[in-house]
This record gives sequence, C-alpha cells and structure tokens, in this order.
Amino acid sequence: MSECYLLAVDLGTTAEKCVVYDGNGKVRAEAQREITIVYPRPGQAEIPSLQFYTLTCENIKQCIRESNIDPKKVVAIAVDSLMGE
Amino acid sequence: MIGIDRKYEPVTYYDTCLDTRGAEESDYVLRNFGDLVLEKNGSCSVWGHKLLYWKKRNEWEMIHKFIMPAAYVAGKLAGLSGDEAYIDPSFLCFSALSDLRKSEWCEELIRRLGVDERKLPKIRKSTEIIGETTRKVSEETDLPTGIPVCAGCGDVTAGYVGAGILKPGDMVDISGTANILAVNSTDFGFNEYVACMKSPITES
Repeated sequence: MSECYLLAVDLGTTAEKCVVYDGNGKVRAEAQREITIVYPRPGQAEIPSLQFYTLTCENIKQCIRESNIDPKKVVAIAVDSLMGE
Repeated sequence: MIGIDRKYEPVTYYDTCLDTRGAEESDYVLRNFGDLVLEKNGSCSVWGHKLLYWKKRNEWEMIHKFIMPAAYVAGKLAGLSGDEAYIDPSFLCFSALSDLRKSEWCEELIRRLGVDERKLPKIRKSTEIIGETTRKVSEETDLPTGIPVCAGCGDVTAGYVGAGILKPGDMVDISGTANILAVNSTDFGFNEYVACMKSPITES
C-alpha cells in the first residue's frame, strides 16, 4: 500500500489516547494524557469539556513528532468516546 | 453528554453517569415511561433524562445542542457550527429518545418526556465524513488542512471493528466495565428481557 496514515483518537473517562497507524495497520506512534475529573461535592463528578479538544491537539502533535511521518500523508481522522454517557 | 453553543463551544461540563444530579429525572422517566423507553430503545435511559435536568439550570438558554465527546472533538477538528452538531447511531441506545430499530429519534418519546427537540443533534452515520481539518486546527495540531474527519462512534462500537467481527455471525465477548456479548447480524431486533445495544457501523 502506498504511504498513508490513519489517525485515531479515543476519549475515555480516565485518559485520552491518540494512535497513528500506517496503511498496513501497524502502529507508528501513540500518545496518552490523563483526563481531569472534578468532584465538587459527594455524588457530583464534572469532566471539563474543553480538555477533550486541548488534550487531543497535544496528543496529535506528539504523535506526529515522534512518528516522523509526513503529516500530509494522513488520509483520515476518526474519534470515538465512551458509550452510555 | 456535552452542551454546546451555536459556535460549537462547550457550555457545560461533560455530564456522565458518574454524576448523580439527574437522579430525580432518571427516576421520573423510569417510573412513567420505562416500558416505552425499553420497547423503543432496548435499554433504559442513561443520558436522555439529563436533558430534563439541564432544563432547570441557568446554562439551558446557552445550550444549542447536546452532543457526545467524540462528536465534540471531531466537530472541532472539522470546524463545525452548532447547527451542524451531530450524533452517530451507536449512542442512541442509551438515549431513551430513539427508535433504535430505525436508528432515528422517536417523536413519541420526545413529546411524552417533554424534551426540547431543538436541543437534539442530527443523526449522521459513523462512517460519514463530516468535514476536513481547518486552518485553526492546523495551527493547533501541526496537521495540514484538508484531512477528512470521520463522524466516529462509541468506543465499544469501535472495539467491535478492532476485534474484527465484520461478517454476519461473528461474535465477541467483552469483559470490561460492562459485560457485553455482541454479534454481527443483518437482522437486528430485541425484546424487553435483555438490554440491547446497536452499533450500525455500515447500516444504510
């Protein structure tokens, strides 16, 4: 397969992950950052929404840097997040 | 779920089932519409009742749409506006507001629960390309502009693809935070006895 890469983002309740796959499905780089949960009172749990995007940006930057790939060869991005929430 | 404004900016925290402030509304939906919710959705409400909770909060007027984190990040990467907010079908089963067999919003449930339909996002297939990376995203990620961004899906659904259950009859058993037995089927259905999810990755 000609040189191309896929960028996958996974958003969890404890961490946010990003992986770069090459066209053969091989992992070329991955990055992970912890998500902050705020507990204002018992029974309350708030996850600041903005961090999903800011951490994604940081993870993507790290993956691009550490994989040494040409970012112009990234052909698609997909994002998933936890279900039931 | 996350409440966003007309510019696709979040105006609420990410409200998960770790937070119990919607317990009263959850109880209301279960007591009054539990059977209908189960009949139409295959599962009880996990997040749909929270729309009734947020309706009582000051943020309500600023909330243009409610979306899932995957759609929030994908939408930001693609530079969507609030009017373009979406949800993919894999999240509908826990909404209490869908007709899961059709992968559509259920007008009857929306009306009877008293949910403001205008706050619900449009439904787009997981495999749809929702847009391309913008100049702003390029500055924030080091990616070039113009990379296609996929609508995406729930993590369990993505896991099915990763596990390779791509042919009818393929099955996977997930022993995680929730235990899930999944089968690839061309004939989706459910009844009131078993909570059921639906991951219509390639459904037309």
